Amino acid sequence: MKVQLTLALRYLQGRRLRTALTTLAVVLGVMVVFAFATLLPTMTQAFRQNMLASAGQVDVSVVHETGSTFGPEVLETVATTPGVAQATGLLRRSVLLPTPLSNPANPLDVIHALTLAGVDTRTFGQVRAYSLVSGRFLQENDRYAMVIPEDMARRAGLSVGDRLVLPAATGRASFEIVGIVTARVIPGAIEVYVPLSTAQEVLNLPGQISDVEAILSSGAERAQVQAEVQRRLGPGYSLEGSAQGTEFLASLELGEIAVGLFGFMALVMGGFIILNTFRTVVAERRRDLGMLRAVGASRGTIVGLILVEGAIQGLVGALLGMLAGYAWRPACWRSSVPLPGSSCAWRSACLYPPQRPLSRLCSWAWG
Amino acid sequence: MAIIQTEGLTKIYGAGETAVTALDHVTLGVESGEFVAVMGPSGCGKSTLLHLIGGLDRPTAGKVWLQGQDISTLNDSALTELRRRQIGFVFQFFNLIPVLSAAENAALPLLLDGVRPTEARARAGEWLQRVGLGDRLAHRPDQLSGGQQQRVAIARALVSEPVLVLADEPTGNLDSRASDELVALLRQISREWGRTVLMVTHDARLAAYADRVVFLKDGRVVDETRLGGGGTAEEIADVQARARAL
Repeated sequence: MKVQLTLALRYLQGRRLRTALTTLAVVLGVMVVFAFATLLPTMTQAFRQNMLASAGQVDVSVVHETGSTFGPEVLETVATTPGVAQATGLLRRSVLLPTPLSNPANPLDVIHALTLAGVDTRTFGQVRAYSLVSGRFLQENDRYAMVIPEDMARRAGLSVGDRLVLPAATGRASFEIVGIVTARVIPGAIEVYVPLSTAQEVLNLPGQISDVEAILSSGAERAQVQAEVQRRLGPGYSLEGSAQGTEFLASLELGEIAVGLFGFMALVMGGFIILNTFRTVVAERRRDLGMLRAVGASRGTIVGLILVEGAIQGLVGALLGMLAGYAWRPACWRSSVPLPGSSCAWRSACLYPPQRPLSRLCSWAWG
Repeated sequence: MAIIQTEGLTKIYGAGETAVTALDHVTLGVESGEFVAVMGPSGCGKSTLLHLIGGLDRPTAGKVWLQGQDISTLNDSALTELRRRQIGFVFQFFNLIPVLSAAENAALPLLLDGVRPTEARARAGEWLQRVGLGDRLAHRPDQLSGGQQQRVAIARALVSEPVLVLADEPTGNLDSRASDELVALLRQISREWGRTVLMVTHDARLAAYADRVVFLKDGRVVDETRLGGGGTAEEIADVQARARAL
């Protein structure tokens, strides 16, 4: 073992360029594998969110049959159902505006009512994909902040920084518009987002929610999970989901397979780089290895020499590769989804402008 | 006493229509301390003979005895140990490890045999001293001339005190002056240090330093001549004439 270690160290020291290049190859291989292995589940999830968002859907949506509100235990029940990746609670209520909104440029287009959606800022972005047009989305410490859809901003002539007054249980509440998002496709409804706690306060419904929206884990059987959610909730609750449109579901699955394929290809590529590197090292060393056999090195000694050298380089390369892969993840993300105003990868996964490759993939899969 | 004895030694590469007979029933004996040169045209089986005698390859048929032991029946680990302790190899291209010093290269067989590094290096140093490289112990191969590198290879071949030194075209990569010095060294290994030397060469002038020259053609021993080992003009002329006749 000592001879192998001595020889391995001498080879590594004596051929610095070769050592550096080989280690670099290992670093690159490990970096690719590590980055994709850690990103893939999030990427798949992000892809699912983007797809669902582009269709204005989530996997599962729970409301009370009577339209009334309910407590957070319903959210807990849905969130803990096997196959559910993430669930979020919303409080949605229609609100009549004390002063109708209109744009002076088009005074006939008047907005009299809108849907106030209180969202849990910690979990909403993990279930619903949204695309910011300007400003930012709601943050955890926001109180009277509001995000409005793009068409509302256009029709009412509103922009980031403007204020909007809504009727509240205690009188009126003034909200600052902090962001504008692309509109969801809900015929006849304009939905604005405010923090859940603020919505509960304004509507005087403390601790209450009216909707639970959930997204499923990759590979989960949709019908099975929906049935299980229904069974756990019992009668009185109505489930809606993206079951409508088998073409959409087929596209979603196809897209997920494509994303999974990228990960597999990255794994194969990384493995190939590492394997080929060590094959080259052995091929280059054939004469030396032959001589060592001639002067009395056993097969085990030769194998040990290669393994010790490979282990040293593999260990150093793997450590550096993991660090590089970890550091590379944000860059990798940026190539698929942007990170405007957010350092949270999960949240950033929900933001995508149409020119990004992942979004293009969504468009392609969605047809 | 014959230190090496081969009997009906045959080596066939490939099978069927593509089979090539490299050695064809070679029977050869080499006495202890003898310096034997093997000559013959390219492809006549010289290197194959050396590889079979050195346990680097296995014969298709026939036997090889080294100090009375039939090595053609030994398993891989026994052959490895035999090469490490009883046989020294010198190759045409020196085959030194480029990242090791001269002393470390020469000490390799001892290190592989489990000898402590300090002792191995000391013994390697003694042999390097004997081959005239006492002041080059820490030099790496790329800091040595071709002749010096081959001397390191000879020190490596001798460091484990083997009974047999096998040299495959040891001067093939050297200029004539370095070649002369190297053959003189091989001569010294045989005469003064009592080792048996079997050398493959194309050069009749160098072969004339041997005690005996064996001529191979088409895998068979076709001629041999005994010499005084002094490399005289008559001896060189005799070897050249026999080589031309092949």
